[in-house]
Amino acid sequence: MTFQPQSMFWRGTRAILLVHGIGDASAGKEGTFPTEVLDGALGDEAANVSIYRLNYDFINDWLAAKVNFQAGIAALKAALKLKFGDDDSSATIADYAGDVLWPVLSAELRFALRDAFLAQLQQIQIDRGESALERGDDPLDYQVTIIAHSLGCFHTYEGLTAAAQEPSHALRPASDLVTFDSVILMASPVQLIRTVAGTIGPIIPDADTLATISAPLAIPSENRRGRVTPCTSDFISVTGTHDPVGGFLLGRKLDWAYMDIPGQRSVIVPQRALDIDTKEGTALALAKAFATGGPKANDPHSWSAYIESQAKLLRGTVLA
Amino acid sequence: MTLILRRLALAGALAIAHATLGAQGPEVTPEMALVARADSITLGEYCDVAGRVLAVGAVIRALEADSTEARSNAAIICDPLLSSFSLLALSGGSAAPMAAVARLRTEGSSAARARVFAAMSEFRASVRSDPVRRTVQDSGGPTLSAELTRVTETAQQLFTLGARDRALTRLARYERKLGPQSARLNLPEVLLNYSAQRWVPGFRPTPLGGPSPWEVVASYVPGYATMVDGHVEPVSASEFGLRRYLFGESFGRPGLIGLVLPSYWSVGVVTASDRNGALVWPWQGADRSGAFVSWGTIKLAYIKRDRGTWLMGKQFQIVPFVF
Repeated sequence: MTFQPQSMFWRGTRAILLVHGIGDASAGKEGTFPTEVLDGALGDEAANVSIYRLNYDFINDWLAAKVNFQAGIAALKAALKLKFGDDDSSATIADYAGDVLWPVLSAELRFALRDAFLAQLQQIQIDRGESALERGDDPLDYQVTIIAHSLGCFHTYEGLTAAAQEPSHALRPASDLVTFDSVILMASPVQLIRTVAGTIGPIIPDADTLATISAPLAIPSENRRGRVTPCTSDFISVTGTHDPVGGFLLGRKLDWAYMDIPGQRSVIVPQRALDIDTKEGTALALAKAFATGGPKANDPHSWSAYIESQAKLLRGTVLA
Repeated sequence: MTLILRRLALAGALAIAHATLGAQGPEVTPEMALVARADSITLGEYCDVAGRVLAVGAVIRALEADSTEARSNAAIICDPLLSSFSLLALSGGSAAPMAAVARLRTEGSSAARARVFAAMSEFRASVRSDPVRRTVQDSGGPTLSAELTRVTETAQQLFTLGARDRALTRLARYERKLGPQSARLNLPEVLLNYSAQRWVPGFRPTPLGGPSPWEVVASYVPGYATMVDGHVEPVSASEFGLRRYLFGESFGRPGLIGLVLPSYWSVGVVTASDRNGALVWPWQGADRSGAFVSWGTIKLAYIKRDRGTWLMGKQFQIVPFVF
């Protein structure tokens, strides 16, 4: 299938780009976009917000078919367990770290995903401009928010960094005046990937092109004539207290796995109601979360649950 | 040329859409609207608006140190030899105006047009950023502000459209190399290509260049066939060589047309045992070497056995990720 970015005239003056995480986000699949939940969170204003969905599963499928990537992930998980040992909670995380880490092991996959992300952002800019100019409005008064979940946070971070720094993408915040009203990363594994990638650094191809590991984490920004302009003035991290992908386990923050970028607004979601009180319980909940089918009752990583619990935050940022 | 044809087709479709009554015409997309508007604005109009904006004293004061550069960029934009070009024509998205054709050959080079677009981008960054944007609105008036918005945003939109097309072109190339029409790799090939991409120049993908067209071939092929005394016999062989993906838009077709316009070709060394048969170890007995070449999935090889042997085969994997 040839990728075509989603394009539309906006219904109002706001748009949201949803970037999904681990799992198949195709219609009807387990990882499908929680648009109904999002509509519910936005309330009556939902009808005036245009929703874009970036589905990159087809790129994952390319590589899964071309090479035996599943075998590589299994080998990586085994290697990570040996590296981290069975102390504390690290081994639990190592068990699924491969799932979030594998994109860094293929430069072609990474760049293809980045191009899909950038093409969608560029299309959104075109749609924004045309929607505004058609009504006689100023496109710069129209707002875009990005909401990413799980592995989608990594691709968003990489994509926004490239967008902010590379002139040929025409998406720089100062030179091209492309800024986002807010960027909301839910259960971001960016720090987790940064840490784990550090242990397998030598086997990562083109590591210098990976913003996650090649430089200190920072809100993607452009330095124009000595003045630093971030891609957004509201960079938000949302994660649950029982979601290891976001850097928490059993209510405890893991400094080496929790994304804490200078300038970010941090929201920690209490997940006591999940009734998870052991490492095994967390592992089981995550296994169910990542497996196709299966119950999702105790999923600490659920995107829908994050959006539901943060409805007020979303209304406040997206509709502000 | 393809880009020009595509944009002309878009503009044509939009004209038809406008000429058609109500909802009966084709749906107008944001891209079609952009192309049509970009074809209606000339560089001369942009120049005129830029001049009027920079004539507002309050704008110059708001620009502060950037005012000099804004004036320089406006001077580049006001190129009299390109003034009759539409923004779309300047971007290469449509033909140059007839009156400008003669000049195009002398002054309207792609480099000159790129310089004008760069100046428009810089000019926009100065006069459309806050607080200058508000100053234009307040001191220049709503009409001038709207005109400035229209010309600067249209030029920027064309910039963005070009960037999007480049990203989609790269993505299409990744699909050609990794997608369903590509050759499947076995484990040794995965490792060899991983190594080549890391350490061999020409194999590495780049963020702005896309994938390398090259791929290493190192496979066991039990599916060759040859003719012996009028009978077809299977031959097993090993192949070492290079595969090159064809990134042109015409290539990479599925089905029968893919035999003529495939995704890749390859060339290299082939080795086979002196014993014919499927699933024979290529180095068994007195092995012989030769060369193979493929056009898409169809392969032809020649091995110098006693009398020389031609082999034919088709690219496929019997056991996924193995051979």
